[in-house]
Amino acid sequence: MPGDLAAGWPRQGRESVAPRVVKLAAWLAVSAGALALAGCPLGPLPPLGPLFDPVGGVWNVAKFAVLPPSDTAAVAGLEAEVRVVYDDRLVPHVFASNAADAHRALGYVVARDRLFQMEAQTRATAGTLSEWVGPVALAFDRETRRLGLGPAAARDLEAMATGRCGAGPKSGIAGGHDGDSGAASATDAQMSPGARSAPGAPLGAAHLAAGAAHDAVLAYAQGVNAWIGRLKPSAERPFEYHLLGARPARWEPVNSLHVLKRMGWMLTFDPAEVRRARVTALVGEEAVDALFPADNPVQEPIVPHRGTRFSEDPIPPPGPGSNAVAETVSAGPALRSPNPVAGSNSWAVGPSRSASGHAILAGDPHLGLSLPSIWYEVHLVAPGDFDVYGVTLAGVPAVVIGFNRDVAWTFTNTGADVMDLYLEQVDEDASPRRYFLDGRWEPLEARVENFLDPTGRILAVDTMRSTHRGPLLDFGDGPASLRWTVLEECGELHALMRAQRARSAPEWLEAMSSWGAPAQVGLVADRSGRIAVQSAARYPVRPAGVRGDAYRDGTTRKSDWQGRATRYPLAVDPRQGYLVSANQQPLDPETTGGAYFGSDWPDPWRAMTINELLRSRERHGTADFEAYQTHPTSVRARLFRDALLAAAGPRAQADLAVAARLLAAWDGTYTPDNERAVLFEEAMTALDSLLWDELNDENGDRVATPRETVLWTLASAPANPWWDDRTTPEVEDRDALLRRALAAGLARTRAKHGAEDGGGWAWSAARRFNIPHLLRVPGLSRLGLAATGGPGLPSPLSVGGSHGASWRMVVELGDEVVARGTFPGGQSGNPLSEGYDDRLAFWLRGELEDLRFPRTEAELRARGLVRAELVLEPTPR
Amino acid sequence: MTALLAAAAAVAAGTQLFGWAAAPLAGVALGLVEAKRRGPGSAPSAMVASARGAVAGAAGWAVLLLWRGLEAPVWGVAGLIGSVAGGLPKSLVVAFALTLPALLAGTAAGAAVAVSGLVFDAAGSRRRDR
Repeated sequence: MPGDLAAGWPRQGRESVAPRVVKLAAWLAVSAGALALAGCPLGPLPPLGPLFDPVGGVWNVAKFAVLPPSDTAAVAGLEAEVRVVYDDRLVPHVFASNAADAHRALGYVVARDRLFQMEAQTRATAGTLSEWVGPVALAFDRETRRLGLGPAAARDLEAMATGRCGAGPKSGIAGGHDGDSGAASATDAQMSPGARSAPGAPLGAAHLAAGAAHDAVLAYAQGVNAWIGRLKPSAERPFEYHLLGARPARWEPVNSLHVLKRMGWMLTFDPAEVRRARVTALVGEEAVDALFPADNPVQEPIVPHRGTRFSEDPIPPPGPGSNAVAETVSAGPALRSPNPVAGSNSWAVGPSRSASGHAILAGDPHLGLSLPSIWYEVHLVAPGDFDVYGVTLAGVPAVVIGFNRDVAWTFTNTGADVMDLYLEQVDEDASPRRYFLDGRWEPLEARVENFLDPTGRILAVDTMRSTHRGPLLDFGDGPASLRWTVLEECGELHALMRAQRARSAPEWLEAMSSWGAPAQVGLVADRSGRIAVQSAARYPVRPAGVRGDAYRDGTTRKSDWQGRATRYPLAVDPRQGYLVSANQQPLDPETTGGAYFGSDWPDPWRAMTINELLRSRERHGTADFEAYQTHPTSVRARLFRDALLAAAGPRAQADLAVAARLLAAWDGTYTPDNERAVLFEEAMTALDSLLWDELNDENGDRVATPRETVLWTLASAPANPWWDDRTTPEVEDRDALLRRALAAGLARTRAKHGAEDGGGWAWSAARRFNIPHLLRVPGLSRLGLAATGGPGLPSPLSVGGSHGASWRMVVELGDEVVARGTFPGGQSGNPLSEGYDDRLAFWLRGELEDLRFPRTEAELRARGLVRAELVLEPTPR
Repeated sequence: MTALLAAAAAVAAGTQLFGWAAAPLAGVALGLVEAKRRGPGSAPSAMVASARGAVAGAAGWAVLLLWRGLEAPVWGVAGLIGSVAGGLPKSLVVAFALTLPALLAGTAAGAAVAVSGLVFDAAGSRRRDR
């Protein structure tokens, strides 16, 4: 047959066979090259063929960059039509007829804007990122799966289905408190199950069925999957999926819990035991107790006590290193800290301190910044149930921080110690099967985990083991089991759902009683003028006299937690008329009787600064609060600048005199154009390096650095041996070291930024905000952003610039709620959308935007603020 | 010209069904047609087929991109890709996006001509020998 066919072909320009074979080989090679170019990844880009395909490729992303003015979609499970109107800031206002439909709609609208982010967060918690990006994520996935967050989320979902996560302890504050208060306590035995709602029962925070949170995640998943189902399978997906060559996975209800577990990891995972052991190895137990104390030496507690209080306890000199465990640990791997400068601010004034006579609340949670933004603004209305506005995490069916018609609330991280490590004795190092407990061998629980690459091929197989306490980890000192409240608590979503229904501050506090982890300080204000603060969580009850920041003996149950309790630091309507929470130690240790609550508390510089601002005048308005959120100076700057100048003295010579003159001219502000803050920070860095030289290991690497409040305490002892720089023959005292630090700061600043009069010393030249995309793609990130911010300021600015205020909000609770807010990014996760980063300019200027809180859709229309609308309809039965 | 237009249409239509693989498939078809018309194995025919395939590939995708552009601004997507690729200008990204099908279809057409020449000549030689 081929011969017959060939016979019919015309013959022209016949060549001999050999050159034609060569040419054929050349053509095939070029063709293969073209196919490889189209089918193989190229640097940061995926295979170019599928990427550039005009039908199924990346060009589809443009289609979703702008919301259609009017749209309709079907959502499975909807009981009635839901109307969604997007306002001028692209915030969806969801008008549903019941709570479940509101959750379905919420899932739909968040997925519409943030689908990639939702799946990315889920994969990060479940340890399946390597299924997207291959071996590069394997180490991360292994670490994540060892912690067991994914299985913990699955357990939560199961517990929620049976209503076991709605139960919470009664905090006993429903009737309200007068005057200052301290710690309320309730043990597990006092806890009561959540009340079930009954038909016709009055609505409010106390009336939410125990299984409501489970219903919410199921409804939310229906909404998300309705959006995914609407995308054309081969073509329509967010930009990042095109880059990864991946397709959106179906959203499972457990994914919502993955997002919450990830937040728990970010905010509380801090293996202080490892740090403590390393430092002990260098300077001994007594020194480590003083350098990383259970109580911060500077007190400005959340629960008002007696203002600012500085400790006068002496800091013992460095001692000899000790302890076999510590020596092993000191050689261990570096720790990955999820969020090194996580912090947040919140404050509220009651009517006595408010210019309008209404309670005002401000909140700005500080987290690692990213694009798409962490938060998503939304307004949810289910008549007779809730009417709430605020920010939600993409994937969570509730408003996390926000307000309703009666109550506004926000959170800051408590920083309490809610995880412990136990050194375990196992039967075999490489592949243990048993651990030793109370004189006998107990079996380890084992779970085999497969790690897949994007093609489904197995990259690695690991066996994850756990004891009765939790997962078995290894920080370089042998096996240690982890007990961590984040792996065990599950009432957070139920608490949030009750909180958004609260009608008063006491009702809100009661609603938070099922909150288990991560430990969060909730600040609340209501329309009647009440303000309150409460650190909500279920805290470990450790054996008497035991701190949680040191490794404990895993071979006996005597080391175990004896239960969990709610030791709520609580203050309601304090006499001072205001409350401030900025991650400082919640309770002054003078009021706690020495109970261990945590250690190495964040420095209270932000809390002191905000307290100063609130004390500086009798009454405050919303504009004042807005300004305080980016106040350009801090107590920290003032204290240490003065100390450096005092040490330099009036007779300083040469460079020291120049440095002192320049620093004296500094007004303490960290605005982008300030030209002296950079000198101060370089001097502080030099001081840190010179002072804590005893905490460097044999390689010269810093093992851990004490808080600056410890440094400040040390300043009251000028001859303390810690001031001596052991690398010099002289014996330095405080002033000598401060002088050296100041001179070194000048030298470092000149080296980095040129001469002081050269115009290169602007603060923005030294530090800028950097907001990376989740995939760390520079083109999708916003880098090098100048704004007011710095160490110890209400608006912190870390060295890398990628942490900061993730949401800023000010709410005044008058007859009508007046609220303003913004965050560093935008509503949309589509980099092509104007909503990707349209709030960023406001955020950088420290300005907030009016938040629309209409009672009806018509109200928004009447004001001409409707940008787009969406009607969600039940699927035909 | 008819073959060229048909090939461009085939690229455009085939991409709807087979994605980017339609470009080399259309190139192969074009190459076979070209080989049949001019004679298999001739150097000029492979080059001409390749050039025609390239034009057809680029034209096919250009039509699709223009169509897509009527629906939503694809120019911005080019900017995104450019930024991910380290700051390439949009025009270069679009140019590359059109070069890719040209390359795929063109090389496939050339290879098809070359292959057909050898295969059919071999078949013809065997027939003559018999």
